[in-house]
Amino acid sequence: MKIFVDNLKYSFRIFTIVAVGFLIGVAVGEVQQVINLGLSVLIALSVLFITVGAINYLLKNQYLTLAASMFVFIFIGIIYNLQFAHSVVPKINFGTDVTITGVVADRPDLSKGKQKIVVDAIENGRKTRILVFLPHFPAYRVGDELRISGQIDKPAMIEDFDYPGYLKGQKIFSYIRQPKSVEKIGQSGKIGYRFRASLFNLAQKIENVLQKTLPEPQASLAEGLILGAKKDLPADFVLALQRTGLTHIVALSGYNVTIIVIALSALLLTIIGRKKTFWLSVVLVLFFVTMTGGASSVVRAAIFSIAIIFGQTMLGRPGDQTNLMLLAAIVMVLFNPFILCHDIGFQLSFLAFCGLIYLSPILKKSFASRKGRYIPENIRNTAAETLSAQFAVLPIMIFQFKQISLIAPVSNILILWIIPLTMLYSFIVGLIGLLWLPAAKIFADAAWPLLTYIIDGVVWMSKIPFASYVWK
Amino acid sequence: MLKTILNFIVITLLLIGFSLIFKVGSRQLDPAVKVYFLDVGQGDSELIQFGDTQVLIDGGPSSDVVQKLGDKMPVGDKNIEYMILTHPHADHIVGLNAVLDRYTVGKIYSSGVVGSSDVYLEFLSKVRDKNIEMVVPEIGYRFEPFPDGEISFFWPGDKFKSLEATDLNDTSEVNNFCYKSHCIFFTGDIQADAVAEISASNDSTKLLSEVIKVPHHGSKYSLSPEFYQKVNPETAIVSASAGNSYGHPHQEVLNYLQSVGINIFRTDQDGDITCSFVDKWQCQGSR
Repeated sequence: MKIFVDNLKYSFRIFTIVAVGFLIGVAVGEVQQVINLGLSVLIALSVLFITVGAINYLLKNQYLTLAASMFVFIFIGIIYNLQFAHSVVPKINFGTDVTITGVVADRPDLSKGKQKIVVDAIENGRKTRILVFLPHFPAYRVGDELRISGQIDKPAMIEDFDYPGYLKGQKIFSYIRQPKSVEKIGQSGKIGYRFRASLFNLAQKIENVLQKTLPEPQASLAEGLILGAKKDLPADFVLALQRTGLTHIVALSGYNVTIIVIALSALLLTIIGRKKTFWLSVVLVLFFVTMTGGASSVVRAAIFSIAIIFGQTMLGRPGDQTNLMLLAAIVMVLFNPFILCHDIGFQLSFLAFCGLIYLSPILKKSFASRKGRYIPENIRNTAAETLSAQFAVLPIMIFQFKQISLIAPVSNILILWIIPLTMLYSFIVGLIGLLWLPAAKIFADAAWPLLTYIIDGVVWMSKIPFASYVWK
Repeated sequence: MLKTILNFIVITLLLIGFSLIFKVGSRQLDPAVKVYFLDVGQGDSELIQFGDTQVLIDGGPSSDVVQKLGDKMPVGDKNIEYMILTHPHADHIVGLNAVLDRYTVGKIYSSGVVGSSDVYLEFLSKVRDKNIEMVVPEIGYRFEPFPDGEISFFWPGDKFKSLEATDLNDTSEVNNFCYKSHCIFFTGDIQADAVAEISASNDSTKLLSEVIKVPHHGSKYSLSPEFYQKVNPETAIVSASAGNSYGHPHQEVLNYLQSVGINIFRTDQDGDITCSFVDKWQCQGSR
């Protein structure tokens, strides 16, 4: 408490408090009862607290001033969320037949013989994103302009899964489940779509090279690692990843790049120095964003990842890092406040960041004492940092997968360190294959043992009794 | 910088060394001819393999088959010598599209029937792009994929070549695979008409097989005792998924097979079924 009070003098603590207030407000804005209060009540309350804050400021009562301003920002957060929702939620007559013209916005999600696409469309004069379910063929691409007709519906809960909330995080409020007709009418000429379409084309070509040069499931794993595509991973391997607490190596909306960067930077920090580690990690992150085609959840995780490495390599002090983290979070929440409660990639990266700032110093200290000091420092640090990130995200992982992996600390130490090297070789295979396939086959032979180590290791560890505890 | 490059080269060579050891090892382990009936869900896919020569019959309803091939084929073998498409229904062809993306394929046998489904058009365009030879085998056509192994075709010849068919099931390529004159009979999804015609136009010396893939996932509309008497199998294999909406395999078929003392293997219960040649065909499920 003493330290906290002392720190209050510094302006950066004020930012911390205000920022936390704002984020709490945005989260509270998702609660239906609060929404029902209405805008006027919220504005009245914030005026009240501004007055309270001002009076306390004049009385030089700084703690109460801070408390009041935190409340003010909570209300600002709520108001921001409500206003944002008001401006983006489309006015659609659900349950009616519509014909929309829209542009495919993201890489189509192909799985189980189905194709899910998100289209940017204009509905009643307002830009909106609509989810459309289609058969596997023909395959559509980013930037395709489609005319789709069918019944438009409001997403509903799927058993106990909050599907409407999940879609809200992507600013999707409606879907067409069984389109009566889909017609491709052209190609959007907008530079944004064209740029992303060419990224997807590149990723597609690299995927083809990996599929041609590697056997399965190694090829799927390589695609998952460098392209973020998990569609072809065998179902039992996905389950094995969950049991061993390693799902984050291939999927989870960009959290994988966060965790890999954390491990990589901890490992390299003592070997090649701060600046080089920072720039190398930035390159890795940017590369991953490019390969996954800049999906917004990946971009968010990437911003966090870069903030994390910057904090780890250049800042160091927990207070500065806290503010950096909050700043990154607020910028992203201003762009889309729904992610705070509904985007799992955002939440995981945010919590991992918290774990690094607050847990890892404690872990590092305890690893450095007693027998731990015989282990080389960079390995100790890598273990401490990845473990603290894992601990911090545990609540979400348990909530998501309804299981807790007991073997995760061991499996992460055994697998995580080899991931960056595997990504490197998989990428070399893909890139060289674009030029000359036979040469790619040689590097595929180099990538194969790494991929096989990960696959066999994960499958083997998942078979250990009590590797994970499952809630029924 | 030089040191980094040197490290990279050394690591790369070490890793390639690892791969080579595994490649050589996995090729020498398995001298037997094997026929796999792959558990690909509600669909069909069978792989005939000897060393690094493969014949793939159908690919099932999803890309799952590529996982199975990665598991069954020798490490580093990305070449499938022969592919047979029995008929272009989704539960047989979707997986083949995934296979064409990942493997080089030597030659494809199919009935050449005309179809307009998206998956079939996708298949045909891939075959055209990759310039793979596609053959419509005549009735009685045979080839040797490897020494002592022979594949012969019984149906439909060029009956449907470049024609549309009202029922694609009856256009299924029907063939057997014999190793040292011990045969396995593959039937695709043929139904009553085709079954009747095949058994009428062939005597039992031609059809005789130790193992048969039950036509059309065990549908009762393909059941013909006369046909089974001519083939006279010891073992019957049903390729279907648990709880499929067609009710495959139908109870009448299972009852009949049991009544004449034929062993039944089912992919929905036994998983991948492997038949290995040891003096005769011996089959085993993976579960």
